Amino acid sequence: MKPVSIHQLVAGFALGDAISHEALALRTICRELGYASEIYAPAERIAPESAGECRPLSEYIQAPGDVAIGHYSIASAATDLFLSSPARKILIYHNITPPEFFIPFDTALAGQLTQARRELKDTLSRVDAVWADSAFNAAELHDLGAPHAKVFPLLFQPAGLDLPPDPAVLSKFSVPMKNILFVGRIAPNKCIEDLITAFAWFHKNIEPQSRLLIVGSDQSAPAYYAMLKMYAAELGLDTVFFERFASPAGLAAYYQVADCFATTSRHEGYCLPLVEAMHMGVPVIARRTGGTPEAMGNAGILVDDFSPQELAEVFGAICHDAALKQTVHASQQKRMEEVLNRPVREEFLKLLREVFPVT
Amino acid sequence: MYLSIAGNDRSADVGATLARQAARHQGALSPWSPGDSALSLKESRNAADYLERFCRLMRLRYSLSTESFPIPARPGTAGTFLRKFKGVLWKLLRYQHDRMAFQQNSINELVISSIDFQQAAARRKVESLEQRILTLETELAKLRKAGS
Repeated sequence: MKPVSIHQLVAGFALGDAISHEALALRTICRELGYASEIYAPAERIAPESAGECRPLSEYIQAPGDVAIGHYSIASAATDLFLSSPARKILIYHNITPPEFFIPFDTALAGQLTQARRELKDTLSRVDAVWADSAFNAAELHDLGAPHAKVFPLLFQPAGLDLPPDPAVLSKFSVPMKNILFVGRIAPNKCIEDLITAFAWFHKNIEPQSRLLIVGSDQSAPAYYAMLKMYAAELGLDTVFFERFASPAGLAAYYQVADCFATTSRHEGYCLPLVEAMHMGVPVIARRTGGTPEAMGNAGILVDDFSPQELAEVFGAICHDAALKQTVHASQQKRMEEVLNRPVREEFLKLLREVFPVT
Repeated sequence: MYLSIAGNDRSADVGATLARQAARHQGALSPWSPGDSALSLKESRNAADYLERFCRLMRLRYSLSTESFPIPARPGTAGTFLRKFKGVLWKLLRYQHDRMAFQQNSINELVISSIDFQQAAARRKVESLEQRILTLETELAKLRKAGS
């Protein structure tokens, strides 16, 4: 019997967040395939501006013949409900940030992450299928005793970025300067302090007319955010802009003004902003870690084992060397062709049929 | 440094060149010693330790600096002119800046003191509650023992 509904459960929901983004994309596919499909999250974890797209967990009901997709990245009430659902269960593993990154800044969150890692093995044994959003994440599951985890790379929907850019953002940064952009949660695993240090060398010794734009929610770890603000002030960097969470139009504007996108994150399951930046034609520089090389493909610039001064020189090269910029740009265009021409619907159906053969 | 450009390992050529150029950048970026740098917060053992360190760093940083600094210039004659003009403006307005900075620094210092007072009061309250809980637990244990 064909399932009637394919609902998804997430630990939190906010437009712009990578997991929420994937849940929305999957919901669209499911609805196109004729299934009833909704997204559920704990009510207190649904961002107010996203309330129309996501329902509270208390409204979640499914029957044994249906399919539930649980997005897993942290222990939450959504996971408990997902595991107790009578529906066939597919767990999508988005990786769990190693708790040690959070210990200095948020002991409670570090505890939740520890719990999520501890419970992961048991969770895996209670679901019908496990998908990972990168080969890196699948390898981690393999080590935990889930050898049959399938790779279903994180979905990218360009529509959210193909909007007229926010004029307020364009106006704010209208004075022409070299803009280094970071987009992502302000969280300790992103090691944004490394980016700030490299930018300080770039700004002081290579390109004084430059800015570092840090765009992303500061709610993941406010104590870490406070440290970054203090650090930027300590280095006398008055052109480091903490822009917090951006609307889709705002994000489009940040990408438009950016001369390059850079991330020094030390832990990534995939890193969707890299793909967004490539889509927006912004050269990408990323630390080689976790799922980042997968997201990049054979495109952009990957760095590792670098000093802040060396990274500053890489910023300088991408901002001032037209030939390098052209090479990077061409590689990213090719990568985006692969990403945009991916047969997502067919991939999803193929994986779904493994769980539910009659779909 | 490992450097890959468009999927090709360029550590040996482009990477080596950039590393040589990077070697020119020497000196300290931060005016603070590592122990007093904001990055020392990464060494916090837990939330309470973080708060204690954060308050200590705040106490070191309450004041606004009104010292002169090198004004960056845009390329060209206009850039040079503007830089000189900004320099003159800075000198002209400095007496006003210093007065406002003094006022702001006084306010900052008082705010930090109020945080310190609150923290001390909260610590005393927690210690008192802990002591009361200990006393009650001891009493309870005695009563249980007597009851059994």
